[in-house]
Amino acid sequence: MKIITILSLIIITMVYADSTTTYRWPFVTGQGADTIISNFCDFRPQDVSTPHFHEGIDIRACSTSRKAYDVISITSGYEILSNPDSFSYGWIVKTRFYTDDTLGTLIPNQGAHHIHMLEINDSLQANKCYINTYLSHQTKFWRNHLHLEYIMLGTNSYSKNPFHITELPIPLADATSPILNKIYVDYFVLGSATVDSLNFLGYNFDQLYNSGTFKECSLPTSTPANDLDDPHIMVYGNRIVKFVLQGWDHFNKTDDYATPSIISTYIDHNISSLEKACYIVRFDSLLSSPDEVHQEEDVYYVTAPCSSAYGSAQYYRLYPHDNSSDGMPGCIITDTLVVDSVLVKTDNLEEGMHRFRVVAEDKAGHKKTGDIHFYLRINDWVDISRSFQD
Amino acid sequence: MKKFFFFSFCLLIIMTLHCGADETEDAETGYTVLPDINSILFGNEWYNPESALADTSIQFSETQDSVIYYEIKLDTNVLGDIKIRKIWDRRMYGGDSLNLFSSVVLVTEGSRRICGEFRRPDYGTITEGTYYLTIKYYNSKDSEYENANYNQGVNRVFTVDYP
Repeated sequence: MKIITILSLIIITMVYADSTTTYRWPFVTGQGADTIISNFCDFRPQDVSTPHFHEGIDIRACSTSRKAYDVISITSGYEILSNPDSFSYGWIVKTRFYTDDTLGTLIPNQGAHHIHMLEINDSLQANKCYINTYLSHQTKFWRNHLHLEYIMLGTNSYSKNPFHITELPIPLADATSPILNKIYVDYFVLGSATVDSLNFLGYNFDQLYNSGTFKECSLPTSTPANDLDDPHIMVYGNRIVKFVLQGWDHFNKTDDYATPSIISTYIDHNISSLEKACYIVRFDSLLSSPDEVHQEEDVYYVTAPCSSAYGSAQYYRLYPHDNSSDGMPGCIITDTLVVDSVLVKTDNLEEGMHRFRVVAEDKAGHKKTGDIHFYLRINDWVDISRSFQD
Repeated sequence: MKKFFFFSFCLLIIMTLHCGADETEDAETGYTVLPDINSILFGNEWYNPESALADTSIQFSETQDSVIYYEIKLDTNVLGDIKIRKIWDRRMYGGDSLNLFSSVVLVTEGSRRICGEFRRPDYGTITEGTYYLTIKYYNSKDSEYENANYNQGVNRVFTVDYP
């Protein structure tokens, strides 16, 4: 009965969905502007401006020829919220969405920012509504890309991931899975433990282990079937370690370094109460409540030895980061940037061999899994084992 | 109208699958259980991947690292990931049994063997005596460990002495 009810609701939703707004790609079809080069919540360090999350997506106009492009609003009907402003980095056009019918019905509290156009439609005026009108005609772009933000309007306007608009047609499919490169083990800054590479049963994992300022564990490209090509470490002493991921998402170019859509971690996944993720970051929104804005350091490692940087390595904390006693930052609340978070406290785990798993997923649904196996030692004995098939 | 027919079709498929679903896990508990223990072998040398463990009386030479290798073989492959706990006890000659420690490991879906090393962290001397291994598995339904079942004749004991 539940299934019937749910499917009935889906049918009703689909039938009536046709009467709501449709969304468009901000470039006119056929002009070739379809490559995403930066994603929502990419980390922008100090050398770009003040450190901040990237609040939209960047769409590259063209990498080889600086031809002129036509830019349209992602809804065919829109209101110009304020007179367009020109800055050193091009024009900003701020819109509020209307449905694309001639009645001009307001879509409550939604709009967009289109940024970096060097030319705009000079007929655009504040507080006026337009239907099927170019924001810019035959323009070029500052640094050859259009920045698109999706905004929730209101007293505290904030950005959401444009890919959150599931109806937004994306010209090119995201063809590749995220890359998981390394896991770093913080054993002395927020962690407190002694960590060594772990070899056993004739298997040597030293080549995956680099004993630097943080212990660096290289992740294999294969996942997740062959556990014996994963890093293995021994954790003892106070047994508190924090894991940091270096990874990124590709869209269609090998030089794209963008943030994945979801990063989640699991310890001994699939065992009863541990089935749920220990920690999840969903890059959907920068606001969890009207007065709480996420801070970059909640998600990224922004200081040495794992300093995140736009365009190259980005280091993601795989644990909630804050100063509160329970380990849960005030801004880390469900349904937004970080969700369903239970602090990974390795010192609370049972003695023995554990599997720490990180899963990165992009908006197209591609997943990449990385595992690190750690033996948590408490006693003056060890029993280091793994399971095998026949 | 096409959407309506499409979802009606989906509904039919889902209802068919639901009614015909097979139970793939333990019929009684609904959770993955550990298959019976088929054999346990101990030894002080390891030949991977071919196990050559068959010792219940182990002697270490003075120059040899003290490591007890073991292989636990299950009756069948596990149907889903499951956690087991291995409890190690020692009985000195003429003395009482002493619990040394226990260690957990994730047994992943499709596995049938658990192989490992029992030793001191620094490969130091393993005290002479008789050692016992007990295996429990995590019953996720009751959130507690339960004793594994051993097939008849499964050895869980080995002794260590020095020449």
